[in-house]
Amino acid sequence: MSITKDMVRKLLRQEGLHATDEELETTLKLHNALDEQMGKASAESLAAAEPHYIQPTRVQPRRR
Amino acid sequence: MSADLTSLTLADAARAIESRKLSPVELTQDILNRIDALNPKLNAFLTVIGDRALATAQQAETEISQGNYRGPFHGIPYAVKDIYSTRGIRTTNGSSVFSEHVPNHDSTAVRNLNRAGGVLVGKNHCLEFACGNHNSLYGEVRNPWNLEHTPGGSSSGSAASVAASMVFGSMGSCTGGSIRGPASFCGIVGHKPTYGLVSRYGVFPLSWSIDHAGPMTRTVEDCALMLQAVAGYDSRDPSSARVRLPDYAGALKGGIGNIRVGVPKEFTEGATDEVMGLVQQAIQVLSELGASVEEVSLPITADYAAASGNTITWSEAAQVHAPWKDRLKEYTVGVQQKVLVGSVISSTMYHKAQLLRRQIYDEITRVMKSVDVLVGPTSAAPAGQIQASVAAGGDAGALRMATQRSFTRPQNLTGLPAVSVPCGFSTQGLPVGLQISGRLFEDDLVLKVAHAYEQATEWHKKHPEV
Repeated sequence: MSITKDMVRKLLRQEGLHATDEELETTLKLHNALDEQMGKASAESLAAAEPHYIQPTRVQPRRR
Repeated sequence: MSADLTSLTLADAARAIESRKLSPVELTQDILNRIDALNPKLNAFLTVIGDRALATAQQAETEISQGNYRGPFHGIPYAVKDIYSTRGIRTTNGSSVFSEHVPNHDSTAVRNLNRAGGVLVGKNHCLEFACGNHNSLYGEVRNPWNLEHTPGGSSSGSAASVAASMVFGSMGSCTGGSIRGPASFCGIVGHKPTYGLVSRYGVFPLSWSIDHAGPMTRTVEDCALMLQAVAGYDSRDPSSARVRLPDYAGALKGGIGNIRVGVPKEFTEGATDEVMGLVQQAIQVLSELGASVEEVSLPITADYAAASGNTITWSEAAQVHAPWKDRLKEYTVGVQQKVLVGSVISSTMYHKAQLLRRQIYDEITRVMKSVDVLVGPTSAAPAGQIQASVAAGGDAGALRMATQRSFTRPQNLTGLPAVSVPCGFSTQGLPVGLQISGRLFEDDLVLKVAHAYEQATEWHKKHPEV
């Protein structure tokens, strides 16, 4: 979900962070760039995926 | 015997020390002299611990003379990136906020290398918190192949010091390519091990679920020896894997005639013609060594690894840096911005990034049922000029990086092992790296393929004249 500059300001304040206007703009652009790119992924295939919360330690190494 | 440090590998030094032809004390003194001579040019070390290193070397020499040789790392001078905690030794994390920070404990990697008999000589310069720019307090690190060019980051000082033979090996860290990228730019070997193989306890985090610690050396054999000394289960790192370690150096032997090499087409797109020409030649060498080569495709990985990786990294980084939020203005702009954006990423967005991460893992795992390793360029181009790198940092750099395809990030997201090995030089005389990655915990196979390639070529015998 894309967010607005005002939402960025409020979210940062909640975290105790104060950003300049320029920093708010860049934060917004970065957030929305990531969100937009991930938004292109197939919702159907994502619905079938398990989140990765990486644990390769669960995987037993193959013996060659 | 005084050593010719530029041609002496870690493995050579180990053999000479074991046979008592080389004194660890003299070797360490030679290393310290070289650091003294070159560090003013390269700025690769933030802290050098000469007296302490010589005392450790003396202890190693005494033990070896008494017949208590610990193994190939005994008496070997090494360094670590300055985000590894070192007891009683300043650890800046590349940040002015930590400029006087002296930990009261060693990171597990340092503890393991010291137990193997290694001689820590100092702490390598690095990008601020392993993700920003060079803090102005400490200045820029320079590439030994051309002082006007960057050594890459974030393990900048580690790569520069190893390439310039100021040390035999250094521990780097990697969240998006910070071991392999600098290794590629500086013409050395950099290995990002399987997630969980090398403990990250005591290494300042950037992103808990993506950070890796790994060795950087001049040859693949050296890399295998350093990996052997540093790897292993650690109860203090919750991500640590309890697996039996193979003999990494022993596994380098033998041919690669039965190896199936995959070349992901999406991870060659965007590389310069010059880089791709060298990578194609390297693939040809692998083929001549008997490996079968086929093109493979990783479209989901190509499209989403950057966005997924940055969403996870920046979100986790915001939490890592929360204790210092009142000092955020003391950070460089690049790190500040990552903390800010990480602070506004929702749990829904973070979760979606983890779903994509699973799809990326599944896609690569599927492809790797029919091939044993993936190869391609480590970086799209050789090292750029420092001036240009500085100009590309900050907001604009972060925005470009947010969704731009990276050749190294997929292995960080998936935890798969990957190494960068030198595969030639640009017309400007700058090194180019070949990336070889494999399946989880098949670090031995990845290193074996890298070693076979390295031994069939002469690139590792070239050294920069600093």
